[in-house]
Order: sequence, then C-alpha cells, then structure tokens
Amino acid sequence: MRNTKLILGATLTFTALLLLLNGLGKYHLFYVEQFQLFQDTLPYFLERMAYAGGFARWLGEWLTQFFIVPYGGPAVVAAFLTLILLMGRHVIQALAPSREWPLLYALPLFPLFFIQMDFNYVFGGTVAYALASAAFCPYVGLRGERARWAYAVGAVVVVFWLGGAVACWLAGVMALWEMLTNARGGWKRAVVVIGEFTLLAVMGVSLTWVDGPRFIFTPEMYYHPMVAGPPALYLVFLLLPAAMLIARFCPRGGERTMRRKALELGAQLITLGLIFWGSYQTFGHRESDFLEELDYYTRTRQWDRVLERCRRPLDNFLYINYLNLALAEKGLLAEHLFDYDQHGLNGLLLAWDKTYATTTLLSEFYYTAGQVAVSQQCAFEANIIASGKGSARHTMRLAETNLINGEYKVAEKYLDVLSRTWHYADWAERRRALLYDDDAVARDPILGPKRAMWQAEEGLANLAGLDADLKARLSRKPDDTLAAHYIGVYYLLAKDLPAFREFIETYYGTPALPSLPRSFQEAVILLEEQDVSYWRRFNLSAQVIQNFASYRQAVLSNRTNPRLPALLNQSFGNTYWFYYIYKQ
Amino acid sequence: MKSRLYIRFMAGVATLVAMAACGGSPRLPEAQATDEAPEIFPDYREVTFPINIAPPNFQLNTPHDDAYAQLRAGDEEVVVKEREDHFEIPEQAWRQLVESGETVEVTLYAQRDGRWTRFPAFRQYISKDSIDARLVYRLIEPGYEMWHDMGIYQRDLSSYEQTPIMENRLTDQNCMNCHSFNQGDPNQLIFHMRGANGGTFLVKNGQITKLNTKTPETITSFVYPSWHPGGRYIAFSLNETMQSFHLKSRNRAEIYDGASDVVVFDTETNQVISSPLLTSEARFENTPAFSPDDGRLYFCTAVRKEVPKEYDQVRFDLCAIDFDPATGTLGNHVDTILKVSDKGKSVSFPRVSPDGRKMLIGLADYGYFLIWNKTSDLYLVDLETGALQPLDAANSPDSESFHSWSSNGRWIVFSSRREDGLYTRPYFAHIDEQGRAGKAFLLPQRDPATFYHRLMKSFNVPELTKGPVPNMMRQLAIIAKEDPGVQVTFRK
Repeated sequence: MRNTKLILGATLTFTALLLLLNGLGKYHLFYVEQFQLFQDTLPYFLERMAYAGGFARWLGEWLTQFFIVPYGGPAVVAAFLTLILLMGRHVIQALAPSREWPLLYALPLFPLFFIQMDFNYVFGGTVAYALASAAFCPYVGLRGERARWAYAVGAVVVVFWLGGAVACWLAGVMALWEMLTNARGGWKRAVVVIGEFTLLAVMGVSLTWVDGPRFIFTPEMYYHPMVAGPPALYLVFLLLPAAMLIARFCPRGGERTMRRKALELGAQLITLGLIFWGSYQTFGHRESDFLEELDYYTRTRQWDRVLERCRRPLDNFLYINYLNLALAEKGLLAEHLFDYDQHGLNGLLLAWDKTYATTTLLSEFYYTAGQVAVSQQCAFEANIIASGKGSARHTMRLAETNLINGEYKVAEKYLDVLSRTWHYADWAERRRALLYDDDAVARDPILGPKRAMWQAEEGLANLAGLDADLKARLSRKPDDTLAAHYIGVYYLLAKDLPAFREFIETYYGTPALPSLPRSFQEAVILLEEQDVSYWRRFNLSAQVIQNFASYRQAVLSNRTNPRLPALLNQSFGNTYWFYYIYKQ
Repeated sequence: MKSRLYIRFMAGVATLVAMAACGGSPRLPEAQATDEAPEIFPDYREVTFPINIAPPNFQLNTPHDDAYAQLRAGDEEVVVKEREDHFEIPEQAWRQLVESGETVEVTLYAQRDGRWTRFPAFRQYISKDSIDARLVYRLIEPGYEMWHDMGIYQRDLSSYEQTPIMENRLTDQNCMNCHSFNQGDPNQLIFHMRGANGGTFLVKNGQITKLNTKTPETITSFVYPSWHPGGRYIAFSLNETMQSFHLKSRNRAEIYDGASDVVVFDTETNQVISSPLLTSEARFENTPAFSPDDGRLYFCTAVRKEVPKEYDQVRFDLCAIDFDPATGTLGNHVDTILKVSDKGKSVSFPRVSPDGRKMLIGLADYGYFLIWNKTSDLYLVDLETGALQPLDAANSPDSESFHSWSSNGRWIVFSSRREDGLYTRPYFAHIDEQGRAGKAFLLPQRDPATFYHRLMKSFNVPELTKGPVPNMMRQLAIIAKEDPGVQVTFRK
C-alpha cells in the first residue's frame, strides 16, 4: 500500500515535471544541446575523469545529447528531479517519519528546476547533486558506528572525484545529520568529514585537479567559469539542509483524522504552487524563450514556423535575423521583406560581438547568402565559443563548408567526429558519401549551388563590405539571383537609395535580376516619384503603382494629422515607402 | 599424487612465465611477395629516427583484413600483430632494435581475401644523435580570434606521456602563447598571457616574474621572443597584428601587421632597449633571433605597405645588427644577410643553429605568418657562404613553419599542415653535418591515426627542451591572478 502510494506519487511528480519542463523550457533544452560535442570514446571519458567532478560532467553531457529530440530534455530532467525528490523524501522521513512532507521534499527542486533554464548551467551539476544525494541516502539508515565511519570517509572521497564540488554539500549534510540525530556521539564524524573534504579540496587546488578554490568550495563548478553563479545555484546546495532543520524541529504529528491529514497535505501543495509561481517570476529567464524557439526552428529548417512566429512586432535584431534567414531560405526575402517588422541593416547582418548567439546567426546568414568561407569562419568561432570540446551544430556546418570548398580531409575529420555522436551519426554517414567526389558535391541540391557560388568568389572578405563582396561574386556569376536580391535588400534596409539606384540600373535585366521583386519596385518609385518613365524602365507592376497612388493619397489627405504614421501603418505598413519614412 | 599435480602446476606457470618473458612474439604467416608499396600512416618509411624516440607506432592504410609487422635490426627481430587497426611496437623491443643496428628493416604482411601478401620492406634509419628530452607546444584550435580551452604542454619524446606546463582553466580561460626557452634550458622560460590576468611571465630557475611590457614608447606589448645565449637579454618583436579572411583561397586567413618593431629586453633592469634601426616607421621589423654563438641579432624587415589592401606585397628580407651584451647596446648599422624580396619571396622566423653556422628560415611568396600560407617551406641558410637550400626532404606541398633546433643541432622540429591542410602537426627531421635534411616524420603516438584524426587542436610553436619543465602550474596561476606585475620601462 505504502509502496503503491510512493509509486503513484513519483509518477505524478514525474509527469507534472515533464509537462512543466516541456511547457516552459522545451526550446531552451533544445538550445543547450548544441553547446557540446559529446564523443562516445574512451579517450573522451578518460579526459573527463582526469579531473574532480569529471564523471558527473561526462554523464551530464551524455544525457544532454538526448535534449535534441522532442520530450528528450524534459524527460531526462524530470527523471532526475523526481529521483532527487524521492531521495530527499528518504532523508526527511528519517528525521520526521510521522507525516508526509511534500513541501520539504520539493524544496531543493525549485532552484534545480529553474537553473535548468539558465544556459550557463551545465546539466552535470544536476547529475552531481543526484550522485551526492544517492550517496547520502544510505548513510541516514546506517546504525553501526564502524559502518558509519567507513561509509562517511569513503563516500566523501568517491563523490569528490566523481561529482566534484558537490562533495562539499555531501560533507555538510552528513555533518548536519550527525548533529541533528546524534550530536553527542556524532560530532567527531561531523568534524572529520568536513576536514576530509577540506583537505581533498586543498589538495585538488594545489595539484590542479580543480581549476581553483571557487570551483570546489562552491557550486560554481557547474556553471560557466567566466560568469558568476546566480543565487539559484547556491540555493540548490542550501535547501535540503534547511528542510532537514525544519523536519527535525517541527512538532511531531500525533493521531490525526483523515480530514486533518488532507488539509495539511493540501496546504503544503498550495504552498508548493505559490513557491513555484514566485520562483518562476524570479528565476524564470523568460527573455530568451523566443530566441531559443526561433533557433530551434532554424536548426530544424522549419522556415514556415519562423515566419509564422515572426508575424508580430520584433524588438530584437536577433529575432529579425532569424526572420530574414527564413525569408531568404524560402526565396521570399526581396519580395516579402517589409511584410514583416524590419529595423535596419542589423536585422539582416549583425555586428559581431563575439557571443555565441551572434556568431551562430552570422554563420547561418553567410551560409544562406552563399558566402561559404565566411560562414565557415563564423562556424569555427562559434564552435570554440560553445565549449571546450566544440558544438555538434557547428561541426556539421564545418563539415558542410569543407565539402563545398573541396577540403575533403578536413571534412572527413569532422564527419568522423560526428559519427561518434548519438544524434548526428546518421547525418554524418549520409554526408560521407560526398567525400572526395566533386561530381557528387556538384549534384547535391544544397551543396552544389553553394559550391558554384563559392567558386565565383575571390579576394579577402568584407574589406569593402558585404555588398562589395556580393557584387564581385555577381560579376563572376551573372545568374546569381541570390546575390542580387541580397544586395538590393542590403541597400534598402540601410536606406541607401543612391547605392540602390546604381545597383538596379546596372543589374536590372541581367540573368541575376530579370525582374524586380516588390520591395525593389517600391523603392524605384521613391527614387523618382514624379518620373513615370523611370518606373516603366523597370516594368513596375500595376498593383505596385496603384498601391503607391493610394499611399500618396493617404499622405496628402492626412498631411496635418498627427496620427498619420499610425494611419499609414495600418494600410501601408508593409511597404518600403512606410519603412523608409517612418521605421528606425 | 599431490606432488605430481604440483609439478604439473608449476610447469604450467613456468611455461606462462617463459612465454611472457619471450614477449609471446607471433609467428609470421606464409605470404606471397608483392611489388606494391604499403601505404602507412604516419609515413615512417625511409625516415631517420633519433635513438631515444618513442616507438613509432603506425597503421597500414592499404586495405586488408589482418596484418603483421616484422621489424629487424642487427640480430634483433620483433613481430607485431595489428591490434585495433594499428601496430603498437613494444617499448622494450624498440629499444633493443635501435641499440642493435643503424637500420630497422620493416616488412609488412597483410591478409586480403584469405590470402597473405608480403610487401617490400622499407627502412628506418637510427641516428646515434639523440634528440632533446622534451617537446613543448601549445595546443589550440587552428582558429582566428576566439579560444576556449588552451594550454602549453610538454611531451616526453622517449614515451607518449604529455603533461601540462600551463592550462588556461586556471587563469580564467585567458590566452597564453609565444613560449620560448633559453637554448633549450627548461628552467628558463618566457611566455605571454593575454586577456584576463595578462602579462609576460619570465621563469628563471624557479623564480617567476610577471611583467607588464607595454610602455608609452613602444607600439605594443612584447610578442615573438628570442633569448640571448647569455640569458640576461631577450629580443622581442612588437606587432600590431591584424587578420583578414579569404573568400576562396586555400590559405583561408591572412595574418599581417599594421606596424611592427624589434626591441631587446634586459631581464635584470627590466628595461626595453631600442634603436631607430629596428623601429622605423617606414618598415616592418619582425621575428628577431639571437645567434647562439656570437649573440648577433638577426631579424626580418620589409618595406611597410598599406594593409590589408597590399597584404600580398609585404616581403621580408633577413638582416642582422650587432648587440653588445656587456653594455646592452645595439649596433649602429644593419647588414643584409639575405635579400629575397626582389625575387618575389619573403623570409620569416630565422632560427640560428646552436653552432652558429646555419640558419633555418621559412620562405614564402609573401608575409611572415607563414602557417596560413601554403607556399611556405623551410630553407637552410649557410651563414658563412650565404648559400640557400630548400629542405626538400622535409618540406611538403602544404605549409611548414614555426621551426626550431635541438640543442645538439642535429634535429629540427617544425609545424606542418601537410596532413589535412588545417590542423598543424609537429614534424621532425635530421640535419646532417652538411646541412642536408632527412625525410620528416610525425611525432609518434601510441595510436597515431586515431589520436591525430580525433584531435581538434593544432600543435603550435614546437620547442625542444633538454629536460622536463618543472611543474609550476599552481604558482603561475596564483601569480597571474594576484600579482600586479612589474612594469617595464623604456631606456632612452
């Protein structure tokens, strides 16, 4: 009966956590999967094991591989959190067996739940915490003095090497346990385990098994080394001890009616809900949700989903970059550019700030635009920024770009690395068929056209700007419509009408630009508002001309109306005319 | 009964012991000879090894199902069965082979479609010239601006053991580079850290000094070093380094300077010594190298060009200036040692041999940062006659750069991208009395194909040291993070 309740409780907890994680954090968990390049090789494992905490880190990375599949991340995280809750229950029940304390069991879960949404946190920290909890659980049930001594001393050493800084937590909770349950006899053991950990930590720092005191005496080991850990990271270590203290000193429950028990349980669950809600407000990290969602669709080439989600005001250049990537991939960039919220050139091409997000987007942009070498350069940088061991996402891009430019030996190297991953091995094997086979690359529907564009390149990149590079490419590949559209879009977003004029007067009517997309046509009207013959030169469509007439009429009719911009936005917000005059 | 069992048991144990003692050498199969040359990686055919190098394990790339390698030298023979796709030569056996004769003959047997084939034997020559004990290098991705994990490591050349000298995980993941030893002395080292906890770290016989090397009178902090043989002075280049990227060229990137100068640093007074001859605004002065014998300062110099527009027109010549260590003064004229710029070539990273008679240089069509330049090759300059000869046996169609000498002047180590065109690997070559280079060989590893194929970092700035570099990682990290550093001053 009791076990049934426990199993039911665990199942409900797991399910609730799974749904919450999937609802609140699925895109985030997809996102963090790309910060590593796990290899299922013995050297990779041994390399990790050479340092304190390496095993937890290695296992965390192995599990993070599964974050890329739908429900994979939520399931893995929910499983670990449920396990941690059950182990916490075991400890709390040992201190206060007279009643159930779901509030206390769940206390450490709050910061653990929300820290998962922080992309500077490594999942190895959760694995380490579970490991240490698993080491602590048997200890609370040990009775014999010798057994407790042996276990305490051994567990700290083992958890130190396998889990790292969490051994500090383990020593602390073991010491606390002794003081709460056996102060007179157990204080010596408390002192010894703490002293033992301290000695191990000092040795670890001196012998460089750990990277510094900060990384062994605090939970910073499980966070990006260049960023200070947030309060939630520390709360993970503090809340079980707090729960232990509460459980120890709470009044013992005597005989209680079913109603009383139900009320107590209900009150705890309500409190849990309130704490969760409060934690969500504080630690929820919602600002990156949308970016992570767009990134997921981009990685999985769900361009329609990107476009659908971007039909709204966009207040971040990163979002606009994702949007414009999707438009370009769908062949809609020049035609439908201003159907969406644009805000200048940074929405097309970001300035590099050496962050992962920007570098990734730059690699994607240049790849879509056919600037293969620059895409490769950005992918290389992003691969390094991601982690010490690389990023599967960017390793794929490196493989692709090296296939495109015929550097087959390097491409093979990257494909071999990807072959040692769980999720990307099949992709690597399919791409392997292209190695050392120029004809196969040329025939590939994605790589072939990009090779043709790459072959039309020359010189150093970005010396005179992207537009100059694309024009140079266009001069060697006169049918390069992609380059032509990007050049036009570049000038339109920058509101550089003189450059746009020169561009279309040179390239209109060539194989690259046999006709003008809608946004270009609208810009032609701006170039020569009064000169209809100029419009005819570029074969502007009747619809565009009619639309401009309506626009002009609306402007003239509402010249003195302070609401003119809002009025124009309603009917003409998707035109270049509106963008040119009113958008920043 | 019991005694019979006991005897049988002991006989069995004795047999096992005897087998272990004999190495359990496998027997070679009956095989048909072929003229086809075996394809092996690394290519250790017809190379010259130092007597104290670790066993040169290799793999047979010619398609096969199973294989054996037979190695013979003098009266010694060892047969190695292929395991996990490579031949792992037992260390003990290798030592016996190299001590037995000057030539190791290697014959490979391969099974294909159920039949055994015997390939023509190839040779490996064993030089009595030993190589220095350790190779020091930085491991870093062959990237551009960003880095993550990096460190400077030392490798015991008689085994496969690699240990860190310094890793950036201890110093907030900063950049560390340009390590250099005084004539291969592992107790005298200089290197830089850039970014967090930055500075130049001078290690001399256990004493670590952090230096802040940018002064108002100099254009940058210290960059490429070269020790004066006396150990008191170190020459440095100062470089405003920039880079650009190719849209198509196999060179991928170009590293060039907006400006560069050469100075000398006095480690006793912490002063920078300079001369207008080495800090001209109209010229780039770069990659200094003190001669180990007479302390003359060699450097490369080029007419300053507008970069990046004219990056491929920057061509360096080799020059020299006298330096008096007694007074710490530079000479008053510059001698041109090798002029190549008028022939469409450029010199870089001169390195004088320990006996002062020869100089190893990199030569390419332009520039000085030659590892990105596929045209770069190694050349030897005879400092007495001025003759220039390419190290044909050591060079490859890809780039060779970052070269240095062993302390006995018989070996060189250099960086090469010949394996895949991107990831730099350390190669060695023997240099005989006449300055002829032997065929270059790749640094041995226990399982070289797997190791090099999976390693996503390049070996950067390989330098040989005469002994192990002491472990001082923790002290270096503490000093980097806590010591404000000594500010160097400019001697007017």
